[in-house]
Amino acid sequence: MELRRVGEHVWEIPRHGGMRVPGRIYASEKLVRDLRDDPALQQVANVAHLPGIVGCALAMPDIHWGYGFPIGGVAAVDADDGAISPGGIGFDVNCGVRLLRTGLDADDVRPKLERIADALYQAIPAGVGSDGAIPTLTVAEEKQMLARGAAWAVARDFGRASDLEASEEGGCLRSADPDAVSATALARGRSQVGTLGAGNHFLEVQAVDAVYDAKVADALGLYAGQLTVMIHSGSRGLGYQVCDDALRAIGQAMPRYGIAVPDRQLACVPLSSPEGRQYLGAMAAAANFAWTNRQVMSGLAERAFEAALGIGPAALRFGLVYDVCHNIAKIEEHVIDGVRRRVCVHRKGATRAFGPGHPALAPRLRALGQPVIIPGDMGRYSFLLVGTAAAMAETFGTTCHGAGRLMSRAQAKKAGRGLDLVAELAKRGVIVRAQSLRGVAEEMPWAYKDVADVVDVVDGAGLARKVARLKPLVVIKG
Amino acid sequence: MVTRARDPGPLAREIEHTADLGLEVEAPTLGVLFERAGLAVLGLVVDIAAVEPRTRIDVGIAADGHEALLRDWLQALLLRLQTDGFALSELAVEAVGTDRVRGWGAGEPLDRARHAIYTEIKGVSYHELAVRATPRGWWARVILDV
Repeated sequence: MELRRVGEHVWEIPRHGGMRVPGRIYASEKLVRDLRDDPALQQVANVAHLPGIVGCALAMPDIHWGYGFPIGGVAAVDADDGAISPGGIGFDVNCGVRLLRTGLDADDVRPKLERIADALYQAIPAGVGSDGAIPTLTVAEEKQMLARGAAWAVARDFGRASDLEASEEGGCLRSADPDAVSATALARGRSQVGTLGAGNHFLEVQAVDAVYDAKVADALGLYAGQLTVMIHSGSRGLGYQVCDDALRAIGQAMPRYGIAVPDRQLACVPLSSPEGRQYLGAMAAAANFAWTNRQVMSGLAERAFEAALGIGPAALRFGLVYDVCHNIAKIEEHVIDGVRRRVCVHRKGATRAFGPGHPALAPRLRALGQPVIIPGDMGRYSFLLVGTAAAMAETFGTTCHGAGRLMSRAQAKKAGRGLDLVAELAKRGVIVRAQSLRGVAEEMPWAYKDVADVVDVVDGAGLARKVARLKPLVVIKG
Repeated sequence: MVTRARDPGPLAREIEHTADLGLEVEAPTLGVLFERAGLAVLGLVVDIAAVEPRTRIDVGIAADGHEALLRDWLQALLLRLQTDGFALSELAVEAVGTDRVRGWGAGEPLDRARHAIYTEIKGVSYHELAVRATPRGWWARVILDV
């Protein structure tokens, strides 16, 4: 695959074959060296075949192979005559991350971390075989939840109303159509509200261990040494089923629209088609499930902290810094070649990073730019950044989403064989509570790239600006 | 034939795949291939050797072709386990063709006190999905999204 350097951190796949636009990858020389033989590059070229695609098929520095689209892939298509591809959103619709602040200093709490870990592990259901935090919903209740998103959870005393403005879209896509969600998807979601899930999902208690922009950190209520909480989870079985149902329906419908794509997992239909509209409505409902899910877990975590420390809300001062989506498609306006256009931006393993002044941001965040949360592996660190004007100009207001895997799950398990993984993490000052040791092995730090390498590229390329670094103290895994 | 979780020998072999989990399965017949693949996938989620085959359930799938059949069969078994909370430790395929598979499973409701949970599987992907006849019988590869 020809890869041409066009900027310090930017590489281009020139248009060839059926590509409608070039591919563009943000990466350092080091990351590009690792990528040379990676099938993810071909996937960027494949995405450039999508009908209605504008600008470039983009990839962020955490690019790696995914189903159809690469993880770290971004594509904007014309909102009127472009195509929607469920593979460009991914199976875990609105998988995302939220960062919560507390009013506590990490050093003060350090002696009680084991107790906090136990309380959180008890309070946050993982998934298989565990009872959800909320009794199994009726179909009518579930559909209400899918229509309302995070506000549904706030109305049930999980978190507070101010959390909603610290969330992309206020924690709810109003275009959600719960009736577009299949009975199987509804069944999969009914008992999973407020559950973490397995794989790379986690809840972490962290400390702010470096501040790069004190002014922005202060405006977000953060300071060095502060105790924070990060939650990474998504739409669970419901979102998976929404994507699965859509891939089947769209795969069958695609020939009717005369669309051909180089990979069946890039199946797509016009946004305006009945199948396209049905998927968009169901995807938005799944996105709302994910926001509800993270909001419920925030409330559970807050109560667990209060119980473990014997303090009330006034002392804990729990509050949402921000909540971002990683896997989603949204209708947005962007300036492309000097013209303002309505486009549908697919972000798969990529984070919206709107710059300062964007009207989609809550007034108190507007001067700062959108907070962007980039989780790393469970042994090192995660980052908080803010969006920039450059991201608006170059990447449809988008930046990276995480570290990206370095090893397969099987390799990671092999690397961890014979080691006491919990003790290994304890040596790094991290307390782990996990449902499965096998899951811990697959998610060990050595299985991931160093997220700092990824974050340095987006910071260097101007796609987001570093604000703070967060070090894990407690990790809860499903 | 009936394949049981406590049968000796491995049901499948794990293969390398960057983001997710891959399995290769071999069997003398197509029916046993479906049985082994089914128990192998369920065994990634829960310790099926601890699951008692107390209750029988029917499992029937219609789909177009062996790959789609296997994928939907595995997806149906995962739904039984992860959504309905019913774990299986025995699987029997009574009939399998190119567009239909019919059989039964035996197991019991999931009980975290007795059944160790390993992980959760979001679903069975179409990526690199393959079912082939070989000189020794049948072979399949599935990639699971975790």
